[in-house]
Amino acid sequence: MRRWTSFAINITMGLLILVAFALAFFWVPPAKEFAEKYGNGHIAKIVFVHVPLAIVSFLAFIFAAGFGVAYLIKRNVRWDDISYALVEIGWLYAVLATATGAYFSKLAWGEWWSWDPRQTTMFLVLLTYTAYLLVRASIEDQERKASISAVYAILGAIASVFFYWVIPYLPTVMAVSAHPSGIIARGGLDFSYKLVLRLSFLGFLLAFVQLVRIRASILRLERQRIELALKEMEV
Amino acid sequence: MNEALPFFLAWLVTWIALMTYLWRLESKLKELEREENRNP
Repeated sequence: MRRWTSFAINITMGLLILVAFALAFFWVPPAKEFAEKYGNGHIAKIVFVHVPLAIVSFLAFIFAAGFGVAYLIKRNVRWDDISYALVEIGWLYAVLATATGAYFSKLAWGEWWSWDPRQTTMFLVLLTYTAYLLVRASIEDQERKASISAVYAILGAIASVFFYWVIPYLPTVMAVSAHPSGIIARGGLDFSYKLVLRLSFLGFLLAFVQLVRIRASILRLERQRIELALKEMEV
Repeated sequence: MNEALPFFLAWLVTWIALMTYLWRLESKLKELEREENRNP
């Protein structure tokens, strides 16, 4: 059953990646507003990579907090495995979102990093979850590791809401930010962009689901192996 | 077409990174499952 689910996810994801790419490359026109502002309307298509990565990373951190709460209530290590897998893959997505954002920055503004408010809040997200990974790796006791990780995931999710959705949208922050989210928010991109963005989002989401499923299974098997080795040592 | 190259590169590099990681995780999972089957 697990193999079939895995196979179905891989096939659907592959199709979505191909269709979204073909539509983005051959069908979606260059964005007028981006062409006027930055000289190349085609760079708007980077939203098909950058935006899904950023949104999925945010969802990962929120769900990680949810599974953290579940662990604290039920004390079931499976919830800790899933919470940790969500943070780890969410962190990878956040790194890729930052990298694609920096690439857009280079193309549009001429520099890879300019401490734009959006770049700064994303940098804070990365710092928050890099610290999570380091803190978790430094604790040996399994129960303590899971409890501290769960509490951290909950606090991290609260901070993420501010970093992703509150601070960048404050009027004073938006006034100084060069990030093109304003163009997207007021419908500055036409229907073809909205359609391909949705397809691309689904592709990135399925890849995320697959990565988390496999990572959580690895964590479960590794834990079982350690428990078995400890039992054998006791005998 | 040349103007769309930045999008092509961003798409390609991102998916290569994700698929390489997925492939690595799948290999590790298969290895662990094989070990588990050998010592149930």
